[in-house]
Amino acid sequence: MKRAVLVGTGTVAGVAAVLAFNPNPARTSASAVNGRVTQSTTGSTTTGGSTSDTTSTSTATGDAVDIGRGYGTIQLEVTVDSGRIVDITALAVPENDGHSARISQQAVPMLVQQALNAQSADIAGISGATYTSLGFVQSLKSALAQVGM
Amino acid sequence: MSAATFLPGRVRTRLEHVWGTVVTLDVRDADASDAAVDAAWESVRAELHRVDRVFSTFREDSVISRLRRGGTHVVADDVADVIDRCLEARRLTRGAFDPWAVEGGFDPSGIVKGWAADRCAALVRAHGLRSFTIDAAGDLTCRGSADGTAASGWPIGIAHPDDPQAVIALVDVRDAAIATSGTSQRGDHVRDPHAHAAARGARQATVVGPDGALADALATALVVSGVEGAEWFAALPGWSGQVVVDDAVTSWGPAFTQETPHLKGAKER
Repeated sequence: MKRAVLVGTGTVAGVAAVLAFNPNPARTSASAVNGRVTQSTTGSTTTGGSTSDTTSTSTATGDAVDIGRGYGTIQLEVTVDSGRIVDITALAVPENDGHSARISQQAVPMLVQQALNAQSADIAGISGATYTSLGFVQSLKSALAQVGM
Repeated sequence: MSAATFLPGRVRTRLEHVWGTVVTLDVRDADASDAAVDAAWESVRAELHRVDRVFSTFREDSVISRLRRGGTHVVADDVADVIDRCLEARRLTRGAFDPWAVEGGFDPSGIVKGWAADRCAALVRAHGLRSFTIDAAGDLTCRGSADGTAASGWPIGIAHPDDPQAVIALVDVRDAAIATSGTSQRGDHVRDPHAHAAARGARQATVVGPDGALADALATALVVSGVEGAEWFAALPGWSGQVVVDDAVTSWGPAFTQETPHLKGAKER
């Protein structure tokens, strides 16, 4: 269990590098992926994210992360099914002024899509990306930690 | 065990709010201790804030602010180095990058971010780490490789200027810097130093090359010069560049091998 949680954290921490993931999906071994799935299912039953231990769907709310400079906070709700992120909802996005609101409108959908794609994503960073992504991944990490990923 | 390809703690990131943006460190060295990563990051954080104190144009008491107010000053070696790099960039870009031709006086902000990223990368290397990136809000200095092997570098996407869910190219960045200017995502406003107006050469420009300071400056300069920037850019050994003009993508150099020539066909992510 401990090991699998660390594995999951390592993967999610990849998101923190502005959506960094295994750069070569072909090398992502099936056993590694299976390990995450199995352990995440176990995690969901022990965290009580679901009312039944016959399903592995869990929902968790991440930390509200202040992205700094008065721009505002970002907070995510994450739904995980069988060790896969199936939905990410932004409960709060930075919108304290027109500029940060504009960035949020553009960046958050991108980040959601990137995170959902992550298990097959092949990008370790994005040149020209917004730093809203960093608050996003911090909130995402905290939410996933709650469901044992 | 094949799960070793997902070594626990293999991807380690750190984040700092500084310069009005965010800078991150992403370490992939599987054999490095957490203590080594922490020590490297502490030295990076100290350098980031030192650079802010010296070079910020938003700080009245910074060295650069004093320079901007005029007079003669004796400056430390690092400030002299930045000034030298600015002169070099102005010469190489035939004036498209010109930190002296801006309102308010000399402003090296267009080069300092990449310059500092390279310095931070050197600090991280000095702590024994080999595979990592310093990401200054989308301008990255990459060292080693993302998967800790010699087979590849860092796969870095280039933001689509219009579509936040797409990238327009994927670049393998090996021991190099990559910088993008003019993206609508960041709300950048690049000025044409000689027209005294918003730059109109390109909507977005990206460069990949061996030096972070120059990458920062060259990307800005290509937004000013657009496709005609090929006249000076093609003379730079070891550099690849890409400009987006309207919906047309034009690139130079070996780094850009996987792009689409037209934004309408950009790769969906």
